[in-house]
Amino acid sequence: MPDGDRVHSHLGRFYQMSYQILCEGVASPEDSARNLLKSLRMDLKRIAQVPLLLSREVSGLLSQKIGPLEFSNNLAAAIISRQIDELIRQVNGPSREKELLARASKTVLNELRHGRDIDASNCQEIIFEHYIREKYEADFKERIPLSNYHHMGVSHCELMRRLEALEPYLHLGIHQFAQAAIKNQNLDNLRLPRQVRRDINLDEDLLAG
Amino acid sequence: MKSSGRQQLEYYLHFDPLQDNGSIVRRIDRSTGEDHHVRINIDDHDFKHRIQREFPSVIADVIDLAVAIHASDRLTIQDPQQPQIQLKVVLPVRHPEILNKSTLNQQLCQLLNWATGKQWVFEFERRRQPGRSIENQPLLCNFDPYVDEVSLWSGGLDALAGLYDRLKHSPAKSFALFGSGSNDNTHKKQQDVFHSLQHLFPDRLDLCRIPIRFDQSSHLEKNPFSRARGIVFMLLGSAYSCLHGLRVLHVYENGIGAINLPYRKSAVGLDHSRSVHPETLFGVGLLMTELIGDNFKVRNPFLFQTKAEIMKSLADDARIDLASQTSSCDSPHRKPQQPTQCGYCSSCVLRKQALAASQLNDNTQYIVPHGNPPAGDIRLYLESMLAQVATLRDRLKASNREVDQWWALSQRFPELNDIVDRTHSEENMTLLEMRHQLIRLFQSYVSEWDLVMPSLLEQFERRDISNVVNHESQLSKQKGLPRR
Repeated sequence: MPDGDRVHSHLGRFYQMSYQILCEGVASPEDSARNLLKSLRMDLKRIAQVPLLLSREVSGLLSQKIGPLEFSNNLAAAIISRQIDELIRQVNGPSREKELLARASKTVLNELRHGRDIDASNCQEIIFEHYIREKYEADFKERIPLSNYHHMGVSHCELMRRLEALEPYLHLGIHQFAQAAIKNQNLDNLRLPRQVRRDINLDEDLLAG
Repeated sequence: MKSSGRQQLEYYLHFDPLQDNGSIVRRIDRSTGEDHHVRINIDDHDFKHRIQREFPSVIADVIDLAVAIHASDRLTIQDPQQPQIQLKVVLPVRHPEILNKSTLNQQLCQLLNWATGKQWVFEFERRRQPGRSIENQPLLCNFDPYVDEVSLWSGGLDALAGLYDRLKHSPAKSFALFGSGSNDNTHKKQQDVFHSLQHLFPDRLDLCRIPIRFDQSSHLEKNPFSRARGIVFMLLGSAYSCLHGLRVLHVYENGIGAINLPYRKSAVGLDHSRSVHPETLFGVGLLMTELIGDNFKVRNPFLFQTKAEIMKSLADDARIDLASQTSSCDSPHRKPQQPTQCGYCSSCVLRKQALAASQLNDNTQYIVPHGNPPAGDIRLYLESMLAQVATLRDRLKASNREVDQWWALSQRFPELNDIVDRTHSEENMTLLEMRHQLIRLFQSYVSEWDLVMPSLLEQFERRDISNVVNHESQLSKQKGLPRR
């Protein structure tokens, strides 16, 4: 394509272990999701300060306008989209994270445009949650190489199936990360979801294979 | 400006007045204090092909600005994981009163920020030296007959196919082509294709090239992903258009390449270039309008067509000989006895797809499948493009209603809303008409792939010794193209 594209063919250092665990297939979907959430948390703490700040600014912009009339009007939505760009442009920070935040903000704007009802008081959390999801997809899910077979000989289809199985747990964790980040306005106390305790069946033969 | 608190790289780029023998650029890295000097040259004697007797001084400023943008972008490297680098560019010009106007200056900085991801600041000083010789030689007589259309000439397949289509369907029109030709191979390629066309369409074509080159600059690392390239090319093309008394510059680029959506979500922001994006064209048009004080536009008449669709006229006339002369490769090889075009970068893959979809027999020699393929993963780009095709297919088949299709597309690619909102008036369309055209574009693209995918995959499978990638190699793989 014009002037060449950058195609990412390897996972970043935070996500290599999660990939390995997923390929091994020993951990339950919940445990795999917890592992992935730990990686995501480390990454967020490292780099998501600017997106957190920006999510507040963008939500300030959007929540002033939230109302049925504002977003059904294409012109108004176009103006807000430009204001979002300008806001993001003025803040200095890692370009990639700013772009992910822009993508998240525009997705929320698109939802508003198509009639989604959003609570203005909750707008920052919605935007930041979208950002974390975008980050998960950009840095992990859609960065997994598109080879037919993966580590331990796992097929791509099987890997995607395992990913699908862990996503409900993962999205719950992402939701909680976003809640905590917005509540504290920092990334210091992002907690993993409480783990579901499994009762041990005393009759179960733990050595059975 | 607010800051993330991280170390921000700042560069100061001071340009001496651009003369016939070039300009000395002083690049100071504010964080290390490193101070480098490098010379940059422009060969603008081809600008004698014009209709205006006097060389407008504001057009000379446009040329100097293009050179300064090119040099500044090439001499500074933006890491997307780091805070944006800030460039302060100081350039002597003939009209600082125009270029320092806040609206124009702001437009320029926003456009460059959008295209390069860097923060730009310009300071235009008054130029004290006389202009270059091209400015000081009034035209004694008109070199050229009247030109109807000025278009960019890259030597690529879209430029050829677009021009061929225009020549065929507008038999009374004459065309002036503009190429930068800064690279020797590209320069020759542009010339060869031009001569072949000139032979077919005599007295209707003219070619102008204005190469920009660094001189003795190997000591400085250059930005390998120069994202300002499109803007530089368009500014120079716009200058050429103005010298012909025109107020439109044409760019022939297929819609898929122009919009350049990410293949997968891992591609973020400037991983994909915005060099011929509709918003970039619109931005350059606005900038030129401010500079010359007259309405100016940059238009891509093929925005709503796939590459295969642009090639229809070529295909109807079975002009594969012309198509074979062009080059599309993003990363040409330079090994003896080997083809130049790689055959596996995204531009080569799209070229193969378009030629196959046009049912033209592709005579081009590529490393894949004709040469010795490199050690790395030659399927990287192909697989990524196929992932995008699968996404588009899923989104489009969600419903038969356009409103739902648009919703599905814009939820995955929210940038599509911005394209429509910001450029539909420029395209003389309503929002709904433009959405319809874009939906049709993506539908055609997906259908073309469905048609040609088996034959294209075959080329890669033949050379694909093993697609089993073990964990260690996968995780340690370097980004970018495979090793040569």
